[in-house]
Amino acid sequence: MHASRTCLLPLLTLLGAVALGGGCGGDHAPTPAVDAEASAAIKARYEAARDQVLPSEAERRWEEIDWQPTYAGGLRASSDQQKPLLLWVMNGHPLGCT
Amino acid sequence: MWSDEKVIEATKDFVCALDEVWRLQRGKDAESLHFQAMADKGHYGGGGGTRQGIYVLTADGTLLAASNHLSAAKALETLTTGLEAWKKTTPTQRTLPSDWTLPRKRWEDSLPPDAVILISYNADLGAGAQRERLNRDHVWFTVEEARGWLPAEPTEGRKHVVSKLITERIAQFHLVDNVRGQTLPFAAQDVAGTVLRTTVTAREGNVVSFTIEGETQGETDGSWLLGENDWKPKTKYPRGVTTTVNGVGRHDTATGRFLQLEFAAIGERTGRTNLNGRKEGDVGPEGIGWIFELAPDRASSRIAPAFVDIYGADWIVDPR
Repeated sequence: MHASRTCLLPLLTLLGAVALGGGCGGDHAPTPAVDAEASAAIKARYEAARDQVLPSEAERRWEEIDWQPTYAGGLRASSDQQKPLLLWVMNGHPLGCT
Repeated sequence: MWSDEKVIEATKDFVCALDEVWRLQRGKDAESLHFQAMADKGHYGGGGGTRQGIYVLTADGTLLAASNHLSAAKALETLTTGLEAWKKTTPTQRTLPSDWTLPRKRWEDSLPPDAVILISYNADLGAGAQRERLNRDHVWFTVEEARGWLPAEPTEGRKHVVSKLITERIAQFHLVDNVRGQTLPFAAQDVAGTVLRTTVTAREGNVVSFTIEGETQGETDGSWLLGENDWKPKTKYPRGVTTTVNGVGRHDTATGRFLQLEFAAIGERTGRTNLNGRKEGDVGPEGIGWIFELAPDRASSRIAPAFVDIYGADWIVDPR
């Protein structure tokens, strides 16, 4: 890929380069000690990225609604609870990928 | 719109349900036909197009209100109209026989009860990124498949290359640019440069702690290598996704359960597809990122992945 990295330079600078060694081809020989510094760096990079990507509490408020995940299940619950059914349907399940 | 305070309050007068409309508007099973009979009276009428939107109805399928908006105010109008209409309905419309069922076939029927389910969130990143849109999906593994995250003997300090099955499933079907809309997967050949590694960082009794890191690469000139299926595009869409992965996990070797499995994939996207909402001027390279974490233990977490029909796993039964 000949992609420019201009837009991600600040992010990658922040996250640093992946430093943990190891090639391909299955399990590696056990090492006598864990590289605590490398593990901490991976965790730090993960947490920084998580804070960038995960939606905020405000953005996730819709998940507080007690959604039934299927049409048929909604009909059954509507009858049982004697409430009208509010159905939201999308291309791609709204609780999954839309 | 569903995160609006007034909308959330209004939904308390309803049973709320969500579903995927593609199957419901085309299917021939009882659940789909029931939906079609109701939705054909809705905002899009009985034409051949989509049935996406919001519907208010009774348990017997009597339509009370319908619309398709992303505005909270418009959604509230639909809810108010529906609730007023509900007051005029009869007990017969509101009540189903206790033995009532709708025979249905769903992808979710294939998922084992003890499956490992991840939920993913993805969003645009970088200087010009707009956070008004993000997307989510689920990743399915059987317990047996998920064993590929760790070495057979997870002793402290041991390094492990994550199984090809796990790596390819994530890179082909989940590290795809669907921030703004559904997109296309990669073929296995397109993600050959992907590698994920775990390192066991601690072991206390049966609980193994580990880190995850790696690099992913998906790139295609648009040639379709995934056979004849609903996803096959009519046009070539060159595109790519490259990321760096970092994460952490904990696994109970006695129960076989993951107590934690979280990782980020941060990188770049290029290109576009026919449905993913990227216009000609938005083909990158631009920043993009994903977070994967264990899905909460609830029914809604079992919603099928977008590309479940082409996962290629022998335990997934096509319900169609």
